[in-house]
Amino acid sequence: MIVTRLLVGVAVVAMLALPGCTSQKSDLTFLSAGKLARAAISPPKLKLDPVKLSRTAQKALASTGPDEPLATVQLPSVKGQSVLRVIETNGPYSTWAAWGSTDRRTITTKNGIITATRAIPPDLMSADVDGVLALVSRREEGTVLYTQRYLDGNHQEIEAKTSCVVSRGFEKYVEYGQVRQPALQMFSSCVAQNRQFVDLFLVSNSGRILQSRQWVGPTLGFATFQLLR
Amino acid sequence: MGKLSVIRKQFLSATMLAALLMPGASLADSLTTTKTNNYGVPSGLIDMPTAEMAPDSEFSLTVAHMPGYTKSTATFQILPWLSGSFRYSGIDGLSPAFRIYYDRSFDVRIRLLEETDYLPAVAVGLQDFLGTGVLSGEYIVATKQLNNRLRVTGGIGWGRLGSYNSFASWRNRQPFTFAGVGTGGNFRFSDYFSGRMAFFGGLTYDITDKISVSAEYSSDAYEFEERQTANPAAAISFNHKSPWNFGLTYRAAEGVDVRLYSVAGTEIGASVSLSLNVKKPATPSLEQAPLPVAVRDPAAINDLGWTLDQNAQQKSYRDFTTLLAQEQIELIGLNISERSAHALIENDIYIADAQALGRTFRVLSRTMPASVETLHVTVTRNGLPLSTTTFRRTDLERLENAPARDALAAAVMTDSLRFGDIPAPLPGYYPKLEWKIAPFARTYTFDPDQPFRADVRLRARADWHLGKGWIVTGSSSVKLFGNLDHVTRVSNSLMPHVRSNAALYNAKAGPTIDQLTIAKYSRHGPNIYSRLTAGYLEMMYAGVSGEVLWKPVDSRLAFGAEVNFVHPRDFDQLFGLRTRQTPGGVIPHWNGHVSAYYDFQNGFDATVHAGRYLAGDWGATLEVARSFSNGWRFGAFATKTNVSSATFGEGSFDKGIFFSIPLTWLIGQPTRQTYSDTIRPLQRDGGQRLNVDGRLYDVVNDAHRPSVAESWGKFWR
Repeated sequence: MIVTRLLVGVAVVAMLALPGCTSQKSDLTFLSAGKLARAAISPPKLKLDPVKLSRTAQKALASTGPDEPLATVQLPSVKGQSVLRVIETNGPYSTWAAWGSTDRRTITTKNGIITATRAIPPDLMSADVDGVLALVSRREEGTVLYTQRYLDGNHQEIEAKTSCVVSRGFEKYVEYGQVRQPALQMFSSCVAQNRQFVDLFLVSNSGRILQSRQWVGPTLGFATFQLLR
Repeated sequence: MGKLSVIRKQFLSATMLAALLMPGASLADSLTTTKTNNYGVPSGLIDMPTAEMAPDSEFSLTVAHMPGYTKSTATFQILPWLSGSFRYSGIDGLSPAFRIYYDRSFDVRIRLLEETDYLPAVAVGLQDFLGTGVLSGEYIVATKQLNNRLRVTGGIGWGRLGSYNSFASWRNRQPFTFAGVGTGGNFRFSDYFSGRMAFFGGLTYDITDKISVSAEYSSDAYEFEERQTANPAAAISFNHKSPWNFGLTYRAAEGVDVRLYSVAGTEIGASVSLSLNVKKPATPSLEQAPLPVAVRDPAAINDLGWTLDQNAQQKSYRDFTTLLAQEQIELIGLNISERSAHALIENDIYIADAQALGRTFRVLSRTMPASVETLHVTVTRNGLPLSTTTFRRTDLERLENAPARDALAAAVMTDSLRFGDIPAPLPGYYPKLEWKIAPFARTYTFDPDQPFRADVRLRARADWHLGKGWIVTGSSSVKLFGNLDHVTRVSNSLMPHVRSNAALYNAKAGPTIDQLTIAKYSRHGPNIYSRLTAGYLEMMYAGVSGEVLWKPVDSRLAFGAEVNFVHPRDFDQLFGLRTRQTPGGVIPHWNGHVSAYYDFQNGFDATVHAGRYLAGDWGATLEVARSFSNGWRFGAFATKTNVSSATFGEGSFDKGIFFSIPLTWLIGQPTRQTYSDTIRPLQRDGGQRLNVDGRLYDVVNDAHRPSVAESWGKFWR
């Protein structure tokens, strides 16, 4: 079990290699190893708290300009939730980080589809989503290829290719944050040799993905991504 | 407990991911096991081997005990079809000469055929194939998985494994006796697969995912133990009543197996096996997200106004320095010109230089004026510029969301000396002092009186970087507690006592001077590196060490040469020197080697050192290692020199295993700190090299293209 290993590891390491104090900021010392061990034994209590999330969302909406993109993300498997703002864009890609904090974790989306995560291990390094994106945003049905790339424990990028059938669902009225408009459910059912998942997108009449529940990877499972504006 | 189960879930899914995504893994994985038998090799049975292998890169440590017997075994799955083991066993009263007879042994197992729908997997193995051979045996074995829970094994054994109810015999095999041991440590080619042979077999059944039972028909008659039981001089008592052995295994946690077993119808024992997989970090990465690439406004690309604006220039420098410091990468120098920028960095934080490069390039993209299109980053260590990576900024902007291999194809890596204008160190960068105070353990293993002794010492170390490539290093330690001063065996070596006096050095509580040197690292031209170190080089020797290395930046091959002039230090490890005269002869002043290094690019590398060793003996060392991109390394070495086995003494020639464990693998935090050690079954005087700090290949190799490319997945991390 990981925690046992961590403790055994920390003990061994503490005995054999860790400095008590050092001039190097990057070196791990007794103190920081102790903190890690403590965090492993009694981890901070995380939970999904929709009320708190919506309170933070209201605060973010109130204190940012009307054109500044805001969204929320929930990762039930790690009990993670956050209000996100865009910290950088690169063409159609937007990189998001937690609003109102310096937490260095990011999610990258391409027009609403998650293509990468950083510091949410094991990280999704990149994804080819053009096929799905084209059908979903045009609200059309069809079959497309979808590729996600992960980083394994030995620094290798591992490519997972799936084939997805995109289909239309029902009309829904989306009401979230400042978003209030009709949308159409679009499903993307993806099957590979060893895994399958169904992504759900709520797409506005203009083709904007307002909300989604997307498969980020086998470890993280699904992420719920919702625009606040 | 929320986080615990999350972590566990994460790990399980990570395992599933790996299993799902490995192409062709399904069949190969079908006959793997993380269980080990009493000999600590992958097997679901008790004493007998199977054709099962552990998953690739699995490392396990097994301690099996029954009254009078303890076997501790470390096994590494070197390749999916090859495993190697090192074992230390103690048998009470086996020999009249010792209270406990301690023995070291090596095993190797090879899977010849993979399991198919109808045919079993077939493996061949050598048990205790080197050395005295008290446990020696060879086998050919087949194992078939009949359903998800049941595996059946049958095989033929020789040696120990051919001793019960043997059905035939061919060729001659020397039976094990203490008299025949001699210096041991050698291959016994004429004995392998010779002598009596017998059948063995067994079943393993998984009752649940955590509990399994096994039963075997053992072909080991424990003959020598029974014979010694009859010998009144020996204290052992062993009674072999039955060939049937039984075991019950419980998986207490991921990577922890506990087993109860019965052997020979008379003995009950227990074993614990701990296992981990080198490719699966113990803790998920806790590294912070990198800064994203900042894409320029195309309209600004031809704006050179900043070149006339001192404030704008200073802002670029300042922003770059601040952001790079946030990434914990050390900035040594930075040049910015109209169309290009060149940063000189030192990576003391990330195991993979590729990751440091990725982060530095992104910081450049965020801070350099828009007209700067060509970006260079030079990686340095010990003041040596090692490699320069160049990107077109447009490529960096274009490829941020593409597969990592695209960025690798766009990167150009060259020898830094091809650039005439490497940035000069920032004013005030030198002199730079680095220091640390840390405890460490010093061990003394495999003494027949007590197999494991250790001291814990506290060490203070300072590295004072005086200028480019000049480093003064001082390191001193003092004993906190331990029992290394209890070693009473004196060296009986017939060679100059170059290492076998270790116990005399170890006994000193100190404070001792562990190292006090001045070193100069230099580059004399493309592909050429040099080091000159003088002073108190290591625990036992003072002197001067000079080294030259040839290593092109994109080459998998390197050549080196080293010459040392040494004098043995006083046992108290202060400033004094002692006479070179020892009971085994005079320790020569001069030693040195030529070396060849080759990286096979499939995770394996090999090194050959040939030359004159500390005791004046001439010969060569072969090292073969499997290196993982994440910093793990396992290897073995053997040295043969021009001294006879009789002169060398017990063990016949020098050999051992070495390993490195990256701390970041254990704790998830980024750090280049690594714990490394070498384990020798015996420390003798033949084939010993000087232990000088900062050998060039280790300084240079990580920053060169083959290593950087192997970890390129980390570039965008």
